[in-house]
Amino acid sequence: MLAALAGDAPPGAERLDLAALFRRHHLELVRLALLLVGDRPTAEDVVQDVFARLQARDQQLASRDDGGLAYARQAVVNGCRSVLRHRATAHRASARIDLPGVQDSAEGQALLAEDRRQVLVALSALPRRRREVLVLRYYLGLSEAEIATTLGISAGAVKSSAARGLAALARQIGETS
Amino acid sequence: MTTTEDRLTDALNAAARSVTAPSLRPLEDHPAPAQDPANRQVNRRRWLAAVASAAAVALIAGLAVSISARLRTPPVGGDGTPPRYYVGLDPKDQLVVRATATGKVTSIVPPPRHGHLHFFSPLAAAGDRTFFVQVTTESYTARIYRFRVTAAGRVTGLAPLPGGALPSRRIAQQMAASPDGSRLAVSLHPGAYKRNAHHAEIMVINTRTGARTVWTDGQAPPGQSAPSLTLLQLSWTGDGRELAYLEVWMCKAGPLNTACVQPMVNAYEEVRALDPARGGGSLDSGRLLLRRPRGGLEAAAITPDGSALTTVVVPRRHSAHPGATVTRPGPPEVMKVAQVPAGTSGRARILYRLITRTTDLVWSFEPGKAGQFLILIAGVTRFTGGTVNGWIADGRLHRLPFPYNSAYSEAW
Repeated sequence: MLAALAGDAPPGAERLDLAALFRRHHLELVRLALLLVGDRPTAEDVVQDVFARLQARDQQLASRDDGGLAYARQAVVNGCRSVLRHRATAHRASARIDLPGVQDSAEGQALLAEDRRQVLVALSALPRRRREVLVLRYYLGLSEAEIATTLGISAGAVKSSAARGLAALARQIGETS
Repeated sequence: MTTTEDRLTDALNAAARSVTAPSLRPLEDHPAPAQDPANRQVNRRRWLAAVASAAAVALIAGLAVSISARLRTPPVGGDGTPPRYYVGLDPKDQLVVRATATGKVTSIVPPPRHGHLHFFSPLAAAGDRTFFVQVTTESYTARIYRFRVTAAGRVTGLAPLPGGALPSRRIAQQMAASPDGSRLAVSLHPGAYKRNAHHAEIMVINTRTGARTVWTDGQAPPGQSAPSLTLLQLSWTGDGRELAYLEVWMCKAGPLNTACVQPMVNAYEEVRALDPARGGGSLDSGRLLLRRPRGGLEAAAITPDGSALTTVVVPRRHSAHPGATVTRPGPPEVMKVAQVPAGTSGRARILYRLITRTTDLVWSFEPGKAGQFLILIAGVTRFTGGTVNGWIADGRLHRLPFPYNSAYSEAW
């Protein structure tokens, strides 16, 4: 899909309303990145980079019905993957997966009661694709088709990743779902 | 919805709510475009800023070129030349063997059948074209493999190393092989969240028998709780009698030991050396070779005779969020490769200087047999750009022919 988007825009193509996309979805995208990378400064950096790239592609994205939101989500997920891979490879950074929000503020910590921490710890231990599928499904509420588009995988893979991820999560937190 | 789904939805939403709209920082450098004519001036300024940025980048590149004015391609043949091949992880996550002189790929290391492959890293070389590599799966199980590169640059004998299956949820951050390849030193960190598992340790594996000895970190400095000790580099003396390690006390761990939450006050970085023949113990007991306030000591390798350390220093400002990954390049700074006496005071001898970014990291720094140093410097993510990939000898940087603008670990 990215290759197709990289083509020249037709003359007079309408420009993407990046300002609207930013106003409506910036917070949502930062929150999505936070849930995937685990710390807020990185989440904000990832989304900043996505908007910088969107600015360069606004003409190509203008014709999209969703105003570029699906592309932005896809780019955020890809950016998070890149960060996680580099973070795990970097020889100085601990490869521990951080829990979203725990290091940000006292308020953030208060929001995460022990029960929620347990769930997030179990989620962070899942393989990357299952974690991504569960976050897109249960945080953003995306459909299987939308998740498949965002992650670039088939709907069947989304279904199986979700089922296996939920089963693993249930085992980790001691439930029979 | 099942109970699990309910709990997951609740936990995700609670975590997401820790970010609120008013607390978000505005977009930097790339404000959202506006449509009305009044904002055309803003757009023009944005273009001017982009042009100015490009000019600054060109200036920095020019400075780098002027400082490393004697850049040249690697020589081939003769004494003191670098190893004929090096092994590196490319941006496609493939582990490839390349000819040092030409950059041509001579072989690709086949992925071992070891669970769901995640990636190869880190790497270590024994100097006789024997290499060690950790293979990590997505479920954070890690195993070290060994292979050889033939005189023709082909991979042969890829097999699990005896004693190379790492403890559950522990991954190697750094590895170094003794010059004769008989021992492999591995620094370990937790591979995923684990309560009370914030300590670092060094494991030395006998590569013939698989026997292991372990050194672990000691007590936190006075007044600090749950510190995070990071081991940045391991290196051996030529006779294999000492193993040097660069350790940095980074910061305090988070409430569940999950991340750094604040830089440590009076933090320091030090290089120590241990005797691998002893049967393990505390990392604090190693012979102190160098100690300095924390400030960008990125790599330190002991010389073959153990009398000095070759260090790489990249001055940097410490982030208020030291556990966070930096995704934007910092301001330019002078990186210095210098040799300092080990265990005694004395003047540093500068081997090389290079303009780099404060956010750049030294990903590989490998001493070679003839006194060269393989060096790979890049940002944490590809967004930061500016990779230095080559080897330093006789005050010169010899760039390695490499088709990508980013690379990960390398060894030779």
